[in-house]
Amino acid sequence: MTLPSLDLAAVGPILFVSVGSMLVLLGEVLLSRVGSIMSHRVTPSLVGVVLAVTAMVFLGLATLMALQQAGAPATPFFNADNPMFQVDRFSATFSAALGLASLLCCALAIAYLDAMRINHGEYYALVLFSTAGMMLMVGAVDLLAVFLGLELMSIPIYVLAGFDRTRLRSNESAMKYFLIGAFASALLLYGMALLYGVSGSTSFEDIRAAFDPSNPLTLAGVGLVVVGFGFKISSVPFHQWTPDVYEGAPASVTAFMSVTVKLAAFAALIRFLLLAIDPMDELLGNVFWVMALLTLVVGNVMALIQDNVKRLLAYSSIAHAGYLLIGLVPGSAQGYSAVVFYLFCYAFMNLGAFTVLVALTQRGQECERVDSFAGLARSRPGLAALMTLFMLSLAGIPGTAGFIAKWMVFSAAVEAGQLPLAIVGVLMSVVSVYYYLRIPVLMYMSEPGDEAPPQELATGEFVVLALCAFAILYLGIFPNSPDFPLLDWARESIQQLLAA
Amino acid sequence: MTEYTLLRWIPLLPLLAAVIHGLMLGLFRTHMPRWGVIALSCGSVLLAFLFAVAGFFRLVGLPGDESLIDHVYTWIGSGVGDTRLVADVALRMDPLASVMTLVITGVGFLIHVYSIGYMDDDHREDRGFQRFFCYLNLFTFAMLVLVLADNLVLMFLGWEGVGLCSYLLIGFWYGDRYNAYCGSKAFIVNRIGDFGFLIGLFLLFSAFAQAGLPTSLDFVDLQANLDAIVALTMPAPFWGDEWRLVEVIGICFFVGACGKSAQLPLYVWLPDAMAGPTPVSALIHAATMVTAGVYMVCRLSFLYAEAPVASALVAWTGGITALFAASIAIAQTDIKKVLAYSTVSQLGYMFLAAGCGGYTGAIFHLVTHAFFKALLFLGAGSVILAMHHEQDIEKMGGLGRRIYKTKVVFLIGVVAIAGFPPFSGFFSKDEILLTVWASEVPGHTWLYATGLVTAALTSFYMWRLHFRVFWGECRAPASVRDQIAEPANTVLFPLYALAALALLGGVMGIPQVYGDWVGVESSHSLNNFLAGVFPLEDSHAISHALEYGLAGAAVLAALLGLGLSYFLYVKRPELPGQMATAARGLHKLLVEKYYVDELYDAVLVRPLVWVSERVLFRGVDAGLIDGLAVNGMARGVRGVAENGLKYLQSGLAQGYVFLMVLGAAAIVGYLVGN
Repeated sequence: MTLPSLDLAAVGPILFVSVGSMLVLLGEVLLSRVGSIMSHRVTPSLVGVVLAVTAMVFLGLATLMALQQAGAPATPFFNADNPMFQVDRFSATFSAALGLASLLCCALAIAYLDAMRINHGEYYALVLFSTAGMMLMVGAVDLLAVFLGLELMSIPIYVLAGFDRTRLRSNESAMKYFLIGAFASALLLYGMALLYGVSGSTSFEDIRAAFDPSNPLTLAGVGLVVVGFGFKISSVPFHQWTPDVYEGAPASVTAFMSVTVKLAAFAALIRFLLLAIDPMDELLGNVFWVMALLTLVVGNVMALIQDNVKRLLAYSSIAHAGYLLIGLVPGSAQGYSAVVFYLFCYAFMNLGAFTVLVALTQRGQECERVDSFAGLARSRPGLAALMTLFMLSLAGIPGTAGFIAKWMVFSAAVEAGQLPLAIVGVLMSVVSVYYYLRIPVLMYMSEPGDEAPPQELATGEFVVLALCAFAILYLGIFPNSPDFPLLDWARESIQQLLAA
Repeated sequence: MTEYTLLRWIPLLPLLAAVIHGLMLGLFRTHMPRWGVIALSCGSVLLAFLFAVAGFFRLVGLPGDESLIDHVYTWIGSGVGDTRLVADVALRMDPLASVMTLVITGVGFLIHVYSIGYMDDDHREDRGFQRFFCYLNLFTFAMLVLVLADNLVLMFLGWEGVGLCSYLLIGFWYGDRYNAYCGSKAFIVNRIGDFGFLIGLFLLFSAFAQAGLPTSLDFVDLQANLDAIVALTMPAPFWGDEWRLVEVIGICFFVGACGKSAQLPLYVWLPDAMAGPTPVSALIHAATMVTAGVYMVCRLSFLYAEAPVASALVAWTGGITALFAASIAIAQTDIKKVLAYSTVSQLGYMFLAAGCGGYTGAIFHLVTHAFFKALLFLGAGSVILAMHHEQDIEKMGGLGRRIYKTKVVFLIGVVAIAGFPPFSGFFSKDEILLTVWASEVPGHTWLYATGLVTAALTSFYMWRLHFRVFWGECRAPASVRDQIAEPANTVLFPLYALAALALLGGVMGIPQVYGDWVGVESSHSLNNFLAGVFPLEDSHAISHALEYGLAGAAVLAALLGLGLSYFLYVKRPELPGQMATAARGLHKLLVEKYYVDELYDAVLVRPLVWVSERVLFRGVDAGLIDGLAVNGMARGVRGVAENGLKYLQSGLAQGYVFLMVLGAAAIVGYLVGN
């Protein structure tokens, strides 16, 4: 028996994250048994910090490794004839983004988990497992690898959603997400099975070779795969779990899943569209057209009537899925790169907004009602200023990353002759300003309600907030600076996929 | 053109300070200690001044009409082909801009320092001190952009910026409704002028398209392409005449200048602008912002040189405004109002010069006026501080004994503005009168006479001010009288510096006739410095005798004013009251400023307010737009969400799955069906 020669460096980021997660698990077990180290009592919060730092170190290494890979040519992994995974600019860029996002999610959770009294070490292990799945997903070039990654990503998140074991709502959230998620996975798997049935292979390349747009089974397979991803990106009509799950899950988990899952699912979807199926732009474009329209309208309109911040942000994340779907409609390189760029911007602004929610957690009580932002500018001016920035960016006000992102997507749509859709997008952005600006208005123009004593911002939260705010402004003003040409990276990664 | 990237730091430094202040105050709701505010604000302006000096020396070292340029980035790039509009954020320092920059940063710095002492006793709000300096820095930035801009679009940014800061600073103590009203008035009247500026800009833009030239609102390109524009006429006759486009453009820009520089008929905001803190009056409403109109006319001198009608309009408007405002100043009793009308009058002088082609004279007077008027305002501020915010000169008197230092510096300002040699005002005023006498503008002898009478009136009301404030018996109530004391040193030092400038500032523009006495070859150094900027002026074909004669006439006018004032307010102080009673009608007319405000109120403001209140607000805005469009839509959208979509979001997982299945079926059905 000969072992296949494996270039382990190609899956370096995934390995780092997986090894990290196991170390965190082991560490948790060991540390929680130890009463004291060198006469220091080992408290749960200390364990949490140690584990979080461990997780962050491995995520950081994975991110750096992924950045290293970004310049390399596309390399298939496992074997060249029938690869499961492909390292290329696209996978590297997304792995780096996912690594960074997960790292930030670990940073923002440290103090929060303590405050909520759910400081169990497996939290970080679950985040790492999930991240490993996502990294697998963004590089997968085989349906099986896609599904493996998807499940590896999802299952830890089901657990994370119910992480606050004693709270009913958290349990409900986990249960609902799991049930509906399992259902969506089934649909996805059925679609994959149909594609396998048509082509006799699960590899993207073979599926593409055997692709026959006149075969109903092929089309049904593609449709069901789109449905499966539609669930993960919370597109209408597969979105309804989103508000309930986001609301019930602990805020730090919501931050994590609202950002990373969307990134990974969109990346896998784009790779699937570009590599696995023949261009059938118009037909599939129409499907995305309708999905984008519905998602935009439902997300933005429903956000208007929310009084719960987490639900509001959930609908906002649905609405952003709508903007992102606009970029898929034209089926052009410009559209896909716009989506990639949008995803990165979205990651920063959404993480920022959720971090503010996390930072506002008081004595085990989450900041949930929109009203609780009233007068925040007086009690916590810095936090209020940052929240304003995040809201402005989410609304797409010029000067912020959100504006550039939307502008890229809309202009891709316009260039492709999708003017009506772009107009709907712009109009819905106008609607969104109403609910986004409600929070700054409350913060700056209302009197504070019951005066809670201002608490210190934890270091982790501060770092995340500062980084997100900086990134939003930086990308908003220099979307393609020579030092950090994110736009070029987005374009190049799509170009590389198209060239394949 | 020489690249000189240091240039951008001149406006950028004050902007940086303003942004830091603004972020602290606006976003983070905190404020820094006073020393921090002082260091940041005064420091940034001082550094800007040093950079301006560096730029000046760099410029002097360049040959001919070279200028320094700093292209920061392309600001607007839109359109294609000939109608393409490109506007850069690019700064250009030529001699004219250099002079202005030095005045703005130099005088500006002195006034910043003065403000430290002046605002120190203002305890109306915690953060007022920093807010004040934030606005002041922002103003400095905008004003510097205005003068350093290398194209009209960027200049307009500065133009609007200074307007905004003026509004913010006039209404600085907004707790008082009257101040807020004055700020709004200034802003609104300025908007009327800005409208003229914009129309001029658009006409220029379309002129380029008409002439088939690529559009560039860059001053250098404008000047280069002027020939093509000069040939154009307005598309439609107006008043039965074919108007040349340059004339119309010139008039439009002058409307803008009238608003900003407070000329007839748009001067009404400036006297009310005195509601702002006194350093603001000195910096914005005397030394810098109000001269922006003069600067603009001079900047576009190449255009006005081709537009005799527009130039004549400039000259006549300036001349009439000078006389008109001076006559009002005679009867005012508020110390700042007197100075405000005096400013209007002196600005008229500058336009008079510019309209007659004496651009150097206009800029010369602009500079000396910045020195002595800033000095007078700051001196007045010092008096006001000493009098515990009393501004009525009828309640002052005899202050010379108590605040002697202020009296002396104020006196220097008075002598300078009245035009006594060898103070700065004498030289600049003399040059203007000479230009007017020698010019070709229709009715220039009348204009000269207007100028001369204005000079006499100026001398009269300034001496009146001096005598009423510093001489005679103190008319203040005893409680105030006992507390009158010299203000702090931070208030006094800028006064000394400005007094020195007011005294010696004339050195930069000594006419050649006097230069010949001492054997200096070209004594008018300002003229030499600016020579490359302005179109060649008609060499004054004036004999030396006439030049001495005109100077003598000006001095005589100033002496006449002094004599009359001394007679009326020192020798026979009971006379003015009797005269006022005797000529009751005239006196009342002057005191009430010719009822111009009332006229505008009745003819323009009230009808406008009525229409906007009744028709536009209640009918169109509240009824149609708010009621039907905005709120109606919002209600509609919310209604859809609350009555329809909400019920889909039941919270039950089976419902969600059901919808998912429907969606999946629709997608698969559509794909397969097609």
